[in-house]
Amino acid sequence: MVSTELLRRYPFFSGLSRDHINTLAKISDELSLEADQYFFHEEEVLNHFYLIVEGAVGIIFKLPERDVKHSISEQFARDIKTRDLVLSTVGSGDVFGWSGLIPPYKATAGAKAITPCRVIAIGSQELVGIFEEDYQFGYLMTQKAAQVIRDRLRDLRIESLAFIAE
Amino acid sequence: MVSPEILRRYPFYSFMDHDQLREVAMITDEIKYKKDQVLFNTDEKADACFLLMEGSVDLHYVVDEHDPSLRKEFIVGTINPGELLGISAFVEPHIYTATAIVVNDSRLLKMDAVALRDLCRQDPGLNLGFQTVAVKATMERLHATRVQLAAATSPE
Repeated sequence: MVSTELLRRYPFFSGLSRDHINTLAKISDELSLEADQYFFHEEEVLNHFYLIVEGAVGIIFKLPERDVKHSISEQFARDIKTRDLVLSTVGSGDVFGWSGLIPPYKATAGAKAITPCRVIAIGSQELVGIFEEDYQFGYLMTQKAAQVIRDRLRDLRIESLAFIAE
Repeated sequence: MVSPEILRRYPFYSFMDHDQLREVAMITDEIKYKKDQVLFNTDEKADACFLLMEGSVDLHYVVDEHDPSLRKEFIVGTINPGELLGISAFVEPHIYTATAIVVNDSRLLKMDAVALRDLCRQDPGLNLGFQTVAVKATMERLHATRVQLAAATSPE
Protein backbone atom coordinates (compact mmCIF):
# COMPACT_ATOMS: atom_id res chain seq x y z
CA MET A 1 0.00 0.00 0.00
CA VAL A 2 1.12 3.59 -0.66
CA SER A 3 -0.12 6.81 0.90
CA THR A 4 -2.99 8.64 -0.75
CA GLU A 5 -0.87 11.82 -0.56
CA LEU A 6 1.73 10.25 -2.82
CA LEU A 7 -0.91 9.52 -5.49
CA ARG A 8 -2.47 12.96 -5.16
CA ARG A 9 0.83 14.60 -6.21
CA TYR A 10 0.38 13.40 -9.78
CA PRO A 11 -1.92 15.13 -12.28
CA PHE A 12 -2.73 11.70 -13.66
CA PHE A 13 -4.99 11.02 -10.67
CA SER A 14 -6.81 14.36 -10.89
CA GLY A 15 -10.58 14.14 -11.17
CA LEU A 16 -10.78 10.97 -9.07
CA SER A 17 -12.82 11.01 -5.87
CA ARG A 18 -11.33 10.46 -2.41
CA ASP A 19 -12.78 6.92 -2.42
CA HIS A 20 -11.21 6.13 -5.78
CA ILE A 21 -7.80 7.41 -4.60
CA ASN A 22 -8.13 5.32 -1.41
CA THR A 23 -8.92 2.24 -3.50
CA LEU A 24 -5.91 2.84 -5.74
CA ALA A 25 -3.61 3.42 -2.74
CA LYS A 26 -4.65 0.06 -1.22
CA ILE A 27 -3.70 -1.91 -4.34
CA SER A 28 -0.46 0.00 -5.02
CA ASP A 29 3.12 -0.54 -3.93
CA GLU A 30 6.32 1.39 -4.39
CA LEU A 31 9.01 -0.42 -6.29
CA SER A 32 12.65 0.39 -7.10
CA LEU A 33 14.58 -1.01 -10.05
CA GLU A 34 18.21 -0.63 -11.04
CA ALA A 35 19.15 0.52 -14.51
CA ASP A 36 18.74 -2.24 -17.14
CA GLN A 37 16.26 -4.25 -15.06
CA TYR A 38 13.02 -5.17 -16.83
CA PHE A 39 9.54 -4.33 -15.60
CA PHE A 40 8.04 -6.73 -18.13
CA HIS A 41 8.61 -8.21 -21.55
CA GLU A 42 6.50 -8.03 -24.70
CA GLU A 43 3.60 -10.56 -24.72
CA GLU A 44 3.81 -11.07 -20.93
CA VAL A 45 0.48 -11.08 -19.04
CA LEU A 46 0.50 -7.98 -16.86
CA ASN A 47 -0.73 -7.79 -13.29
CA HIS A 48 0.24 -4.16 -12.77
CA PHE A 49 0.50 -0.85 -14.50
CA TYR A 50 3.03 1.73 -13.36
CA LEU A 51 3.45 5.41 -12.60
CA ILE A 52 7.02 6.70 -12.61
CA VAL A 53 8.05 8.61 -9.50
CA GLU A 54 11.73 8.96 -10.45
CA GLY A 55 13.86 7.82 -13.34
CA ALA A 56 13.46 6.98 -17.01
CA VAL A 57 11.83 3.88 -18.51
CA GLY A 58 12.38 2.67 -22.05
CA ILE A 59 9.53 1.14 -24.05
CA ILE A 60 11.28 -1.56 -26.02
CA PHE A 61 10.92 -4.05 -28.83
CA LYS A 62 13.12 -7.08 -29.13
CA LEU A 63 14.60 -7.48 -32.59
CA PRO A 64 16.69 -10.38 -33.89
CA GLU A 65 20.40 -9.69 -33.46
CA ARG A 66 22.08 -8.69 -36.71
CA ASP A 67 24.79 -10.88 -38.24
CA VAL A 68 23.80 -13.94 -36.17
CA LYS A 69 22.64 -16.98 -38.11
CA HIS A 70 20.12 -19.29 -36.46
CA SER A 71 19.33 -22.88 -37.40
CA ILE A 72 15.77 -23.81 -38.38
CA SER A 73 15.30 -25.67 -35.08
CA GLU A 74 16.43 -22.58 -33.14
CA GLN A 75 13.96 -20.49 -35.11
CA PHE A 76 11.14 -22.96 -34.40
CA ALA A 77 12.05 -23.00 -30.70
CA ARG A 78 12.31 -19.21 -30.80
CA ASP A 79 15.77 -19.65 -29.34
CA ILE A 80 17.24 -16.66 -31.14
CA LYS A 81 19.57 -13.93 -30.02
CA THR A 82 17.83 -10.57 -29.74
CA ARG A 83 18.68 -6.96 -29.03
CA ASP A 84 16.56 -4.26 -27.45
CA LEU A 85 15.33 -1.36 -29.53
CA VAL A 86 14.19 1.53 -27.31
CA LEU A 87 11.21 3.02 -29.15
CA SER A 88 10.41 5.74 -26.65
CA THR A 89 11.36 6.86 -23.19
CA VAL A 90 8.93 7.89 -20.46
CA GLY A 91 9.78 9.76 -17.27
CA SER A 92 8.53 11.10 -13.96
CA GLY A 93 4.73 11.39 -13.81
CA ASP A 94 4.22 9.18 -16.87
CA VAL A 95 2.24 5.96 -16.80
CA PHE A 96 3.04 2.73 -18.65
CA GLY A 97 1.84 -0.87 -18.75
CA TRP A 98 -1.74 -0.02 -19.73
CA SER A 99 -2.25 -3.42 -21.29
CA GLY A 100 -2.80 -4.70 -17.75
CA LEU A 101 -6.24 -3.05 -17.82
CA ILE A 102 -7.38 -4.14 -21.27
CA PRO A 103 -8.11 -7.73 -22.38
CA PRO A 104 -6.16 -9.92 -23.15
CA TYR A 105 -3.93 -8.13 -20.57
CA LYS A 106 -0.72 -8.86 -22.54
CA ALA A 107 2.08 -6.32 -22.92
CA THR A 108 2.32 -4.99 -26.49
CA ALA A 109 5.94 -3.91 -25.84
CA GLY A 110 8.54 -4.45 -23.13
CA ALA A 111 9.62 -1.92 -20.50
CA LYS A 112 13.01 -1.60 -18.84
CA ALA A 113 14.66 0.88 -16.52
CA ILE A 114 17.05 3.13 -18.42
CA THR A 115 18.21 4.78 -15.17
CA PRO A 116 17.58 3.68 -11.56
CA CYS A 117 13.81 4.00 -11.15
CA ARG A 118 11.24 4.40 -8.42
CA VAL A 119 7.69 3.63 -9.52
CA ILE A 120 4.23 3.05 -8.10
CA ALA A 121 2.95 -0.38 -9.22
CA ILE A 122 -0.85 -0.48 -9.28
CA GLY A 123 -2.57 -3.87 -9.24
CA SER A 124 -4.38 -3.95 -12.56
CA GLN A 125 -6.17 -7.29 -12.10
CA GLU A 126 -7.67 -6.12 -8.79
CA LEU A 127 -8.65 -2.90 -10.51
CA VAL A 128 -10.40 -4.69 -13.38
CA GLY A 129 -12.46 -6.56 -10.77
CA ILE A 130 -13.32 -3.28 -9.04
CA PHE A 131 -14.42 -1.77 -12.39
CA GLU A 132 -17.03 -4.54 -12.68
CA GLU A 133 -18.65 -3.14 -9.54
CA ASP A 134 -17.98 0.55 -10.18
CA TYR A 135 -18.45 1.37 -13.89
CA GLN A 136 -17.88 5.09 -13.36
CA PHE A 137 -14.44 4.45 -11.83
CA GLY A 138 -13.70 2.12 -14.76
CA TYR A 139 -14.77 4.78 -17.23
CA LEU A 140 -12.61 7.49 -15.60
CA MET A 141 -9.50 5.29 -15.58
CA THR A 142 -9.94 3.95 -19.12
CA GLN A 143 -10.62 7.50 -20.36
CA LYS A 144 -7.28 8.53 -18.84
CA ALA A 145 -5.65 5.51 -20.50
CA ALA A 146 -7.18 6.46 -23.84
CA GLN A 147 -5.87 10.02 -23.58
CA VAL A 148 -2.35 8.92 -22.66
CA ILE A 149 -2.23 6.31 -25.44
CA ARG A 150 -3.65 8.77 -27.99
CA ASP A 151 -0.96 11.34 -27.06
CA ARG A 152 1.73 8.67 -27.28
CA LEU A 153 0.41 7.61 -30.69
CA ARG A 154 0.50 11.23 -31.89
CA ASP A 155 4.11 11.65 -30.65
CA LEU A 156 5.14 8.40 -32.31
CA ARG A 157 3.54 9.41 -35.60
CA ILE A 158 5.46 12.70 -35.52
CA GLU A 159 8.67 10.78 -34.76
CA SER A 160 7.98 8.40 -37.67
CA LEU A 161 7.44 11.35 -39.98
CA ALA A 162 10.76 12.81 -38.90
CA PHE A 163 12.45 9.57 -40.05
CA ILE A 164 10.62 9.71 -43.37
CA ALA A 165 11.60 13.34 -43.84
CA GLU A 166 15.31 12.70 -43.13
CA MET B 1 -31.00 2.30 -38.33
CA VAL B 2 -29.63 -1.22 -38.92
CA SER B 3 -30.64 -4.63 -37.64
CA PRO B 4 -28.98 -5.68 -34.35
CA GLU B 5 -28.14 -8.93 -36.18
CA ILE B 6 -25.74 -7.04 -38.42
CA LEU B 7 -23.89 -5.69 -35.39
CA ARG B 8 -23.81 -9.14 -33.79
CA ARG B 9 -21.55 -10.37 -36.63
CA TYR B 10 -18.66 -8.20 -35.45
CA PRO B 11 -16.50 -9.01 -32.38
CA PHE B 12 -16.36 -5.27 -31.69
CA TYR B 13 -19.95 -5.41 -30.38
CA SER B 14 -19.56 -8.66 -28.43
CA PHE B 15 -19.51 -6.96 -25.01
CA MET B 16 -23.11 -5.76 -25.40
CA ASP B 17 -26.26 -7.51 -24.25
CA HIS B 18 -29.35 -7.68 -26.48
CA ASP B 19 -30.92 -4.43 -25.23
CA GLN B 20 -27.68 -2.47 -25.62
CA LEU B 21 -27.21 -3.89 -29.11
CA ARG B 22 -30.73 -2.81 -30.07
CA GLU B 23 -30.16 0.74 -28.75
CA VAL B 24 -26.85 1.06 -30.63
CA ALA B 25 -28.41 -0.38 -33.82
CA MET B 26 -31.00 2.43 -33.70
CA ILE B 27 -28.29 5.11 -33.99
CA THR B 28 -26.25 3.23 -36.61
CA ASP B 29 -26.54 3.43 -40.40
CA GLU B 30 -24.99 1.28 -43.10
CA ILE B 31 -23.46 3.59 -45.70
CA LYS B 32 -21.58 3.02 -48.96
CA TYR B 33 -18.67 5.32 -49.75
CA LYS B 34 -16.85 5.79 -53.03
CA LYS B 35 -13.08 5.70 -53.54
CA ASP B 36 -11.39 8.95 -52.40
CA GLN B 37 -14.34 10.11 -50.27
CA VAL B 38 -13.28 11.71 -46.99
CA LEU B 39 -14.96 10.26 -43.90
CA PHE B 40 -13.59 12.90 -41.56
CA ASN B 41 -10.80 15.44 -41.31
CA THR B 42 -8.11 16.11 -38.69
CA ASP B 43 -9.23 18.65 -36.05
CA GLU B 44 -12.94 18.27 -36.87
CA LYS B 45 -15.41 17.49 -34.10
CA ALA B 46 -15.68 13.71 -33.72
CA ASP B 47 -19.42 13.33 -34.19
CA ALA B 48 -19.33 9.86 -35.76
CA CYS B 49 -17.37 6.65 -35.45
CA PHE B 50 -17.27 3.88 -38.02
CA LEU B 51 -16.81 0.16 -38.33
CA LEU B 52 -15.51 -0.97 -41.71
CA MET B 53 -17.63 -3.78 -43.20
CA GLU B 54 -16.08 -3.99 -46.67
CA GLY B 55 -13.32 -2.16 -48.51
CA SER B 56 -10.36 -0.21 -47.21
CA VAL B 57 -9.73 3.18 -45.60
CA ASP B 58 -6.43 5.00 -45.09
CA LEU B 59 -5.67 7.24 -42.13
CA HIS B 60 -3.67 10.33 -43.05
CA TYR B 61 -1.73 12.42 -40.57
CA VAL B 62 -1.63 16.09 -41.49
CA VAL B 63 1.29 18.34 -40.65
CA ASP B 64 0.05 21.91 -40.77
CA GLU B 65 2.47 24.78 -41.20
CA HIS B 66 1.82 28.53 -41.11
CA ASP B 67 2.53 28.57 -44.81
CA PRO B 68 -0.21 26.45 -46.48
CA SER B 69 2.21 25.46 -49.26
CA LEU B 70 4.23 23.52 -46.64
CA ARG B 71 1.20 21.47 -45.52
CA LYS B 72 1.97 17.74 -45.75
CA GLU B 73 -0.11 14.59 -45.46
CA PHE B 74 1.26 11.13 -44.65
CA ILE B 75 -0.51 7.78 -44.51
CA VAL B 76 -0.12 6.47 -40.96
CA GLY B 77 -2.34 3.42 -41.13
CA THR B 78 -4.78 1.36 -43.13
CA ILE B 79 -8.11 0.19 -41.71
CA ASN B 80 -9.25 -3.31 -42.66
CA PRO B 81 -12.75 -4.85 -42.48
CA GLY B 82 -13.96 -5.38 -38.91
CA GLU B 83 -11.85 -2.53 -37.55
CA LEU B 84 -12.99 0.65 -35.85
CA LEU B 85 -12.18 4.16 -37.02
CA GLY B 86 -12.99 7.52 -35.52
CA ILE B 87 -11.81 6.41 -32.06
CA SER B 88 -11.59 10.09 -31.03
CA ALA B 89 -15.38 9.98 -30.70
CA PHE B 90 -14.77 8.10 -27.43
CA VAL B 91 -11.83 10.15 -26.17
CA GLU B 92 -12.20 13.67 -24.80
CA PRO B 93 -12.06 16.33 -26.22
CA HIS B 94 -13.73 14.37 -29.07
CA ILE B 95 -11.65 15.85 -31.92
CA TYR B 96 -10.35 13.68 -34.80
CA THR B 97 -6.55 13.36 -34.80
CA ALA B 98 -6.29 11.99 -38.36
CA THR B 99 -8.03 12.27 -41.72
CA ALA B 100 -9.78 9.15 -43.06
CA ILE B 101 -9.97 8.65 -46.84
CA VAL B 102 -11.66 5.74 -48.61
CA VAL B 103 -9.10 3.75 -50.65
CA ASN B 104 -11.60 1.70 -52.65
CA ASP B 105 -15.41 1.54 -52.68
CA SER B 106 -16.36 0.61 -49.11
CA ARG B 107 -19.30 -0.18 -46.89
CA LEU B 108 -19.27 1.09 -43.31
CA LEU B 109 -21.42 1.13 -40.22
CA LYS B 110 -21.65 4.77 -39.13
CA MET B 111 -22.56 5.38 -35.48
CA ASP B 112 -23.87 8.77 -34.40
CA ALA B 113 -21.29 9.55 -31.71
CA VAL B 114 -23.31 12.31 -30.06
CA ALA B 115 -26.27 9.95 -29.59
CA LEU B 116 -23.87 7.20 -28.56
CA ARG B 117 -22.32 9.37 -25.85
CA ASP B 118 -25.87 10.13 -24.62
CA LEU B 119 -26.59 6.40 -24.46
CA CYS B 120 -23.35 5.88 -22.57
CA ARG B 121 -24.24 8.57 -20.03
CA GLN B 122 -27.46 6.66 -19.27
CA ASP B 123 -25.78 3.24 -19.18
CA PRO B 124 -22.42 3.19 -17.31
CA GLY B 125 -21.83 -0.45 -18.29
CA LEU B 126 -22.11 0.42 -21.98
CA ASN B 127 -19.88 3.43 -21.35
CA LEU B 128 -17.12 1.30 -19.83
CA GLY B 129 -17.51 -1.29 -22.60
CA PHE B 130 -17.08 1.26 -25.40
CA GLN B 131 -14.22 2.91 -23.57
CA THR B 132 -12.43 -0.42 -23.21
CA VAL B 133 -12.76 -1.36 -26.89
CA ALA B 134 -11.66 2.15 -27.88
CA VAL B 135 -8.54 1.89 -25.69
CA LYS B 136 -7.84 -1.54 -27.16
CA ALA B 137 -8.15 -0.20 -30.71
CA THR B 138 -5.85 2.74 -29.86
CA MET B 139 -3.30 0.38 -28.31
CA GLU B 140 -3.34 -1.78 -31.43
CA ARG B 141 -2.74 1.29 -33.56
CA LEU B 142 0.09 2.37 -31.26
CA HIS B 143 1.62 -1.10 -31.58
CA ALA B 144 1.37 -0.98 -35.40
CA THR B 145 3.05 2.44 -35.43
CA ARG B 146 5.83 1.13 -33.15
CA VAL B 147 6.42 -1.78 -35.53
CA GLN B 148 6.64 0.67 -38.44
CA LEU B 149 9.07 2.85 -36.51
CA ALA B 150 11.14 -0.18 -35.49
CA ALA B 151 11.35 -1.20 -39.16
CA ALA B 152 12.31 2.35 -40.20
CA THR B 153 15.04 2.67 -37.57
CA SER B 154 16.53 -0.79 -38.02
CA PRO B 155 17.54 -1.21 -41.64
CA GLU B 156 19.01 -4.59 -42.57
